[in-house]
Amino acid sequence: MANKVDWKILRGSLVVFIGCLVIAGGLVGGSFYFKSKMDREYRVHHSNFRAASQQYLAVDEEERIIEEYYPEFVRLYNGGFLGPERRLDWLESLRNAGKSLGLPELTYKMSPQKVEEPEFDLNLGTYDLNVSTMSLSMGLLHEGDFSRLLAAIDREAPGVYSVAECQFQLTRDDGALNPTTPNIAAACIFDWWTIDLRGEARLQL
Amino acid sequence: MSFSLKSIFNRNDSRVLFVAADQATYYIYNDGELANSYGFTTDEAGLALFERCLVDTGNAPVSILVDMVEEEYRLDTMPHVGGGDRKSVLDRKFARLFRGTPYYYAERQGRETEGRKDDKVLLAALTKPESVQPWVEKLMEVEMPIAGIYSLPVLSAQLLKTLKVNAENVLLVSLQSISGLRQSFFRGGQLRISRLAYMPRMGSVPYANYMLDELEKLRRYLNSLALVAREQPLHIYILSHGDLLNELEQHCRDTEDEKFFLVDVAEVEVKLGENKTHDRYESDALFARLLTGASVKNHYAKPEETQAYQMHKTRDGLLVAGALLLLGGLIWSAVNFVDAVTLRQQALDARQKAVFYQERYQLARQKLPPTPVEPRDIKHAVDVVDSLREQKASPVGIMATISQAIARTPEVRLDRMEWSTEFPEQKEVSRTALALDIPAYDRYDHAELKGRIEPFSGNFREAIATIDGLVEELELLPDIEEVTVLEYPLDVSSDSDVSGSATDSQERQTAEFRLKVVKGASNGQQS
Repeated sequence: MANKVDWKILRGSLVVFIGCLVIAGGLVGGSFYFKSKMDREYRVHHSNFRAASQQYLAVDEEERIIEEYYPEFVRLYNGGFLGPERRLDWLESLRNAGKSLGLPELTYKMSPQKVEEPEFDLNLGTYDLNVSTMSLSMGLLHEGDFSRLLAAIDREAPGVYSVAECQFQLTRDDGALNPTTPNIAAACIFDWWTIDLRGEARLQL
Repeated sequence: MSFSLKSIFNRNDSRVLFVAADQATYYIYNDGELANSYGFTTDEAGLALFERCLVDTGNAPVSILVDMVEEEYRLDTMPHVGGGDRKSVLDRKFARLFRGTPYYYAERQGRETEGRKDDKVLLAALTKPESVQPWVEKLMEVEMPIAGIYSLPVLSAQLLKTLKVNAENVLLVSLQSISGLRQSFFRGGQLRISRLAYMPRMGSVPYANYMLDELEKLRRYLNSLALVAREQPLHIYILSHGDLLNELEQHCRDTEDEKFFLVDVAEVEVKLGENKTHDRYESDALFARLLTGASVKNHYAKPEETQAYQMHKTRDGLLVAGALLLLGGLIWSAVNFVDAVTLRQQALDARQKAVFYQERYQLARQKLPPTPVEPRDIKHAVDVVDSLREQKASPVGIMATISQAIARTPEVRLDRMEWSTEFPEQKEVSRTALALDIPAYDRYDHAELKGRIEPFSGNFREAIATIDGLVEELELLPDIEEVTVLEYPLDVSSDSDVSGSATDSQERQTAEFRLKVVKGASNGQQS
């Protein structure tokens, strides 16, 4: 005769066992949940405490930074390196430079500003690098005009720029320079860089 | 069987049914103590009374102890195998030796030292199962759980352990009121043979003499079989009590071959945990008591007969497991709870400290001038602008370098220049610079030049030499990384077409070329 399970005998104890299992599971699960919650709460408060204490300890350092760097920060903001771009000032500076150098031809085209990742290593931290691309076409009497143009822009225009590409082409075949008409046609692309807060926030003094 | 709280907590209740050939005694143990015992004859009336007794005395596991003449023992050997093979071998042996009985038992008693080292086994069987079956059937009828059917002689080995008997040759003699005089011979603590002798009524014969006569018969039998180790004396343990014990003491004399040990039944019962001793010279209750203690492995009962008991054990196991689970859960959750409360307290402390330091920080910050961003971001912005200034690129530097070289080769005229800049991976720059021991550049200016030889006499060899001279001049200048001629005035390589006039012609000829120049620049340096 094969052994069979006599549920009549086991029923009661099985109910008790399952009951104990459920209660024990509930107790352990509940207490584990409570402990996890308290652990999370502790981690958050402990982290806040550490941050606050470090911040407090760093007040002297902050004071030193403000004293040392804030004037330069304000100067950079006013100089158009930080905050909103100064597109009008750039164009005026360009026009003035062209006029003062007597360039026979100087045209520009500027694209909308956009956020870009720099090609070189640069830790931007909480800031974005905003780039406005300017295409510049020039008629130069000789190659020295280009250097002088850049020097004039450096002197007068707010902000910082970098030349990305340039093409120079002699306009005369015989190689003779004419003092009144463009001898070299130059086309360059300038990247105008400004730094502002990351995202939608804007730097304001 | 019903389930009740009483049955959960009365785990110490047990029953022993001591079965002899024509009668049985039912021992009732409540809370580990012998509460009562009832005798029944093996007939219809006795079984009916037994059934009524079972109903009246409540449910508890029953161990059936058998002591009857119709029990046979064989010493045998079998191959040293296990599992299903062992069972098959034993089944064949039982079928051959004890045909017709379902009650048989095998006990391994070591191994032979020679040959294939077979197992030595004691085979035992109840050859008259009908003496036991009515009792078993009655118990199963009223759903009493049967813990097992036990052989008194086999069980006697347990008693030797209680008496701490270590001798090589032991003869254990006990008197049972319902079965008679049981003599079991053990060698090395293992049962070899056993004999049950009829005992007349107490007082009808001198009991001590009668017992010793029976003992002598077995002694002679043992000698005839040469079962007793010759070099060791036979230790004879006789269980008795009161006057009979005194009487035996007077008759038993130790010799070189025999040593007598008279054991008081009452004292052994106390050793086994019995609180109330009984003034009896028989050992019935003593052997019954052996079955109420530690769990003893079943000898004869079939699985179907012990099924209810197994179910009860499973039930008990479930209850114990449940209780342990609950206890474990309580302890674990208590530990978790204590940890959680401790963490909560630590969290409150941390929060208070954080608030304290935040207040102190705000107070300290009030003394500082207001800034649009955090001080560390002020410094960072200044650093970023500095970096951008350093990265500023323009073609002015490379234009100056190229002009320098062309000034030394006046035959060359430049018509066109295309310039661009490239920023290499920072890691790559450092690694290459380190490996080649060369200055690391932060960027490279690429210039593609298009020019011609002016004036050109038509001598291409001379023109190519002039261009090569320009290349050499360029390569000598600082920071020039690479100068490549992309196109000579005349392609004289073997895989290209060449055509022209080889005579002095008035037709104007040109000597145009293209060059690629790469110049390195470091941060802050005009390239």
